[in-house]
Amino acid sequence: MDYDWNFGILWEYRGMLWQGVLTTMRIVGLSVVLGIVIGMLLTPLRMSDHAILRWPATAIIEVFRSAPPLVLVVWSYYCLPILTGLTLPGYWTSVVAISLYSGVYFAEIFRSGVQAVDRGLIEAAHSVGMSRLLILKRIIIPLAFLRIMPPFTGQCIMAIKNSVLGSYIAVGEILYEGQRLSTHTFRPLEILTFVALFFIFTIMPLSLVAGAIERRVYRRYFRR
Amino acid sequence: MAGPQSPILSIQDLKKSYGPVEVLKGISFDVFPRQVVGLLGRSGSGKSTLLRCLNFLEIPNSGRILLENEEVGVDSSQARRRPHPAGVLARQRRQMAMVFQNFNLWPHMTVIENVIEGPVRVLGLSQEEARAGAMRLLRDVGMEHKADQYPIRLSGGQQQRVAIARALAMRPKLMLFDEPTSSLDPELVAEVLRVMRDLAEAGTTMLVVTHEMAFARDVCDRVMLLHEGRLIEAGPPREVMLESQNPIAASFFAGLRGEAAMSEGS
Repeated sequence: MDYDWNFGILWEYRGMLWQGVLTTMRIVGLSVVLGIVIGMLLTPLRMSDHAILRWPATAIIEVFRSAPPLVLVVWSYYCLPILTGLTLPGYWTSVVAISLYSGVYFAEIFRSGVQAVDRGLIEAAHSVGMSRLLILKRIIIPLAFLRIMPPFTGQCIMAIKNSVLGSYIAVGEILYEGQRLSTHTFRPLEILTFVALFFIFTIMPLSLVAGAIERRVYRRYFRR
Repeated sequence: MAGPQSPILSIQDLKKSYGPVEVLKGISFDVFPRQVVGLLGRSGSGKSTLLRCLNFLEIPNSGRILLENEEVGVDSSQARRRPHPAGVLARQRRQMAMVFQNFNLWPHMTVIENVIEGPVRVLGLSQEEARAGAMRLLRDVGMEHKADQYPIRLSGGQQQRVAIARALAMRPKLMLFDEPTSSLDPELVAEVLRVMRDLAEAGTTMLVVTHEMAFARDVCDRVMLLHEGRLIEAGPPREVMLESQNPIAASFFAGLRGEAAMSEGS
């Protein structure tokens, strides 16, 4: 293939690409934080003994889990304003949709973590007279967190990947800016390769570090 | 031991059902200060359920549990049983700290952290005070050299000795032992029983669910035999274990009696 590579193009348009990178990082940061908050709010409801709390939380989780995230983004962008009269800019629409989508997964991950805490460890805490709040804070949450590290980091990585969905509704994150630039410069190979490499070089170290931390935690607390 | 002393723990007509299955069919007994009481019986006889009802890890359906004349878990003086506020139950639970079959040490805390958790968070001791006390207890159970290890690094016997120290750190009025050696490899049973023997000699009031016949015979002041949710025999170990004419007791202790007869014959 005698294609004439010109990676200089990236440097030429670095301002635009940098803006795209920044927007992507903002979407990721916000949607991971919001997703965790949503997950933390849904988990106790989902696990409640009262059907009146549990049922709506379960419904929300099942509904959002069943839709492809791109459909959520697009639906929120076009339909929510019609239904609610509330128009959000595309940027916020994608943040909210991606947060909700991750949030219901975080909720399920947190629940599995709490359920994985051995009953006996909670009984031991009761038997030294700890209150329910203290048991939650000192025993259940720390142990649940150690147990869910692999799925938790996996879900954070999914949130990074899902951030590109905003490009479908013209949010200027890295993929959208990359596509715009490709058509403008006729250099899709260089630019889209850069976009792909951006994600690979962001996510790969993250998952390697996460994997190392998980192994360390496991060796330290759980394996003989 | 009875006489003028009043019991630390008094159980009156305790009943517990799971759905239609009645596991405890009206249990009554007293535990006096400095007494070591063994609770024996086949698997499924209700021993563990009984012990777990005492600190309300299982909620009994009826009957009264009095810890130094204070009713545990509920107030049944009125017609309707009213559960105690959570804080009262929590205090009562720590006054009869429990040692579990599976140790249940918190895996994310080191040995010393396991022991000081209750004293610091529940009793409100300072870190230094709690640590000093915990190191003394760990020395008593022979575990001070592992203070900074995580539980997963310890053998089962070591974990159980730490769990005993953790329970003692709450300065309980009595100790509840729920088959403390049942999940240990045979060679690790002795070290845990030795610690329990030391406690008994030091005058700790103990209620012990166990399958260790020799321990019950040699260490307990009193043993009780539970069968199908009822206490069918209670008394000094020798009487219950070796001399009782009750056919269930005779068959349950047959092995022990055989041994005793052999050693007398030889």
